[in-house]
Amino acid sequence: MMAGAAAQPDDTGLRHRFEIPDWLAWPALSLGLLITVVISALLWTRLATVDEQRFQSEVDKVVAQMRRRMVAHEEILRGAAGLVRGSEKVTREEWRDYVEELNLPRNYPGILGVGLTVRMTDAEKSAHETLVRKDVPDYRIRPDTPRDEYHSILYLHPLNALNRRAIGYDMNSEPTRSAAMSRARDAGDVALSGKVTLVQEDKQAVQPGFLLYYPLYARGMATDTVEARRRALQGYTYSPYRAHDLFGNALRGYADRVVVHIHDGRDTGDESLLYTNAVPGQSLSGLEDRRELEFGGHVWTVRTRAPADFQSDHLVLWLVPLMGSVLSALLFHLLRQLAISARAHRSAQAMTHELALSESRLSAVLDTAADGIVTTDESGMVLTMNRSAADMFGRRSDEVIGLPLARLLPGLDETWFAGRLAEAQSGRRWALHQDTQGARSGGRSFPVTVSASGFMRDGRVVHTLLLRDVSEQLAAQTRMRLHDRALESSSEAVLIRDVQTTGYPVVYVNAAFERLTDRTAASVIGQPYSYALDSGAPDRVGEEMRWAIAHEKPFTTTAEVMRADGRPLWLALSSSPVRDNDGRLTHYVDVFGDITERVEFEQKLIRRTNRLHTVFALSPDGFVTVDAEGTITNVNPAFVRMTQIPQRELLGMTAAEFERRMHALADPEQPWPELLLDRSSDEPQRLWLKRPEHRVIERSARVAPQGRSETVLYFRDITQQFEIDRMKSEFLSTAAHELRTPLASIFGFAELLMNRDYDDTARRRMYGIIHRQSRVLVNLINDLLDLARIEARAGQDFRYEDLPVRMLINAAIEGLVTPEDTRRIELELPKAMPRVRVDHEKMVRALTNVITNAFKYSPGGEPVTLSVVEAARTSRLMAGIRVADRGIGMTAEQQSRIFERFYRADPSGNIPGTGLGMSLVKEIMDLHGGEIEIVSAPGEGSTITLWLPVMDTATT
Amino acid sequence: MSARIAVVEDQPEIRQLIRMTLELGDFDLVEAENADIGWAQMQQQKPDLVLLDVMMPGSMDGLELCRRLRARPETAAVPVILLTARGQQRDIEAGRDAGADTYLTKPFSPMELLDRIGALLGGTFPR
Repeated sequence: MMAGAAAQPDDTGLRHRFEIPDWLAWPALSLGLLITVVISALLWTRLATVDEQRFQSEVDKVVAQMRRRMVAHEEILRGAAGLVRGSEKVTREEWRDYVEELNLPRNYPGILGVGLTVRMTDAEKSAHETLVRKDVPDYRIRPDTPRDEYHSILYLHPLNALNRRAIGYDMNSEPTRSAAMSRARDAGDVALSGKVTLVQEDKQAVQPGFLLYYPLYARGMATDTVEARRRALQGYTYSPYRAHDLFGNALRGYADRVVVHIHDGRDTGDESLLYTNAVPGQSLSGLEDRRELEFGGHVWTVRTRAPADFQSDHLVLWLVPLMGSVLSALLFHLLRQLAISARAHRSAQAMTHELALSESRLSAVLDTAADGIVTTDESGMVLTMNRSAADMFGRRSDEVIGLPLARLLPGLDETWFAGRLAEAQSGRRWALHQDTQGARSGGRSFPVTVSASGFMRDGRVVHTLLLRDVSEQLAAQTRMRLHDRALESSSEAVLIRDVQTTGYPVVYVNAAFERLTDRTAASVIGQPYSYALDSGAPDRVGEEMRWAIAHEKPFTTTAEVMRADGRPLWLALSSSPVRDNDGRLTHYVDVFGDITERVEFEQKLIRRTNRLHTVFALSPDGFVTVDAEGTITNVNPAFVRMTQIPQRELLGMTAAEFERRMHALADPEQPWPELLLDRSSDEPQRLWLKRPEHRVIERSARVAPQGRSETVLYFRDITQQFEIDRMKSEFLSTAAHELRTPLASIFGFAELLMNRDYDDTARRRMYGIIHRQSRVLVNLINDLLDLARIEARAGQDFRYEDLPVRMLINAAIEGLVTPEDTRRIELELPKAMPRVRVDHEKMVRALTNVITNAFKYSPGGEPVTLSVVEAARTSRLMAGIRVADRGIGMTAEQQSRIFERFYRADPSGNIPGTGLGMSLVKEIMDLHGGEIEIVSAPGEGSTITLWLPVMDTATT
Repeated sequence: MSARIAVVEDQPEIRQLIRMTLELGDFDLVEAENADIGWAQMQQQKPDLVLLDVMMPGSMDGLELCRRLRARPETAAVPVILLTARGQQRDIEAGRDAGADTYLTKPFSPMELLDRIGALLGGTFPR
């Protein structure tokens, strides 16, 4: 109904343009009939003319075909005449060949045969018969009545039983044939005979027949006049025809659509009828034609009629006026009806317009309603639907009209709906609310709240349903629930405070808050909450928070707070403002987590890092840390001491630069490994440095197994260890050499003495050498053993005593200088001599060695001076036993090597010695905490002072 | 003409031992107490054979002197006997590398020395 109303305005507009007046029907009818009459008349006339023309054309075809066939037959006879004229005497075989060549039954059906007649006089007759009978025994010219001249059929082919009858027959004896033969003879052309009964006919199915003749003249005779031709005539070529066979065949396909009668001559009676294709009882139309066909000097009359079905269809002729009349009548009726309808419409239009206006107003109201509104009939079929409902279901309103409501609201309870239906039918109004599911186009469902009411109108029930899509409402509720749940289950504590109220009271805390702070929500909500550790301490967090709230800014901090049970707690606090829709600050949300463990861990880490830093800084070994890119991130003081490269230059140095700087310090005589490129190697590598001083350094590297791949390079100074190793090896080598040298003399001279006889002088000299060298060997062994013992024990077996220096000097001199010795020691001793704490035996040994050296290197026998001095050296009071000689002295180089083992200032061998004496002195002095002072110059003698710490000064 | 033998040895006792050993044969002896002196002598007058102590004080040791001899065309072919107090394989190889013909380890047998000299000079000597 609403849809109809929507379509009508267009319709009325159309009718306004083609208004039909009442009177128009009558003239329309008259005009229609008139047009019908005129068209019918024209049609009839035209069709008659067309039929006549078609008929004449058919007749033309028939006549032309007859003439064509007869001309063809004429040609056969002319051909046969040619054959006869061409040869002197035509034999029966030649004739047969000619005719068979023509193939008559196929090419010229209707011809019975082609024959040849000969003309003869009575006198010639019997000779001729005799001649012919050689071939045809029963040959005889018939009828044998006497005449002026005879014509006999000599040849006729095909020579079948019927034609055989004709051989010998004189056709000139019969008037019809004779007339035709005479005409042919006189005209010198073909001549057609009248209707005859052929001699070939037997008594059954006799057909009318006729013959065609062509004259043969004697060769060489004139044929220019009738007379001449009569004289020259020799015979004829001819053909007999059966009319039915001939025409029936010739006209096949030419006379199928017309009825033909062919008459002999101009008479058209039954007597003269040669041929007809008329079927008895056939109805014929009025169309008729009669023509004369002249051929071979003879006339045939061809009478043609059209059969009744030849003419155009009579039904068509009558259909045109009939249809015209009917159409006129229909037009008349239609116009009458339209006129009536238009009048009725004009009155309805005003009403419809009003209705449409009201409906569109209602429709506009419905369409602007936010809720979906659907009306259905009593069976639940949708009647109308507003735009909101259409949007809700994702369909166009016109595509749901007529659909069952269950398609839109599959969740609606049908039995319930039926119950409401029953109520409505009993005249009661009803209304209800239900939450159900709606189905959107595409199959998705959505929650919908349905309010429905029903009422009766015009005995029919109409339901009106108000639909509200509650998806978003439900989604919002779900979201809210989720948020609540998330808040409650969060491990982060959440606290919300109302900042519009003085004191910023707490309005919400979650479960995590209660757990973390050991406070119940009830004890906190409605109260201000402070993160202060205790009431006495300055509230740093409170200050930050008040500032943040005043500036409406978020803030984060860490704070140490006290739980209700007194346990301290570290919190990471993040606080942010909440605004209402108008942007007004209403709440602050504090989110915080327990970071106590983290803080404690950090503190532990810091302590540990500090410890490590200390170790790092104090370590005598060098450390360098390098990051993944090869940049130096840290070096310790030991490394800086080792390389003398300032720390500020090392930090941030690239691997390549580090490599270069380190290489610059290298001892060029030693191999140099790459420091960093090869850092993954666990194998320690040895670096020989020349600068800042000779060092041997062992480098090892450790790549941190996790995290950023930091490498720690470890540099250990092994110079000392390395030197000791080297010195041990060298000492052994040198000791062996020193031991072998005296042995070589002993061994060699002994061998010489064994092998040769020497005189007494030589022998004594050699024994002397052996003896002396043996002593050297013994001294060497003693010194080596002493040295080894002192070194190995490192002073542990020393028996220290507080002894006066004087005692040491006396003991040394007593052991050294024998009464008969020429060597002199000049003593310059003070009255008061200090006491020192020494191992008596060792210190006497040291002093003895020094004095011995002084004598040895005084080759001129100059006296040695021994004195005792006291002095403060390196903040200690020390006593010095000074031995001065006036011997050869020492160069600076000799002085620097004096303590080297086996070093001899005089390598010439003139001065005996092991080269170990001063080494022993050095060892002993070191173990006593003493020092050795050397003052010497070549040629000026040497002064060596043994300094010992003073215990006290005694007067001895 | 007796063969000229250069002896370079820092120990006077060993020099004396060599001197007395070589008196057993017919040799001219030229002695030097260090390599520098020996080198100067040998440059002046080419010896027929050289006896070299390896370990000697001074700027040059026996090995260095041996190398110099070999580097000088006049003395490149002179036989050299090294006297060494070091008997280790390393030292022997060092001597070979320096160009010595043979070596004797101290203490050495004087008779062995004579045999070696004889072998190198292509003569024999009475025992």
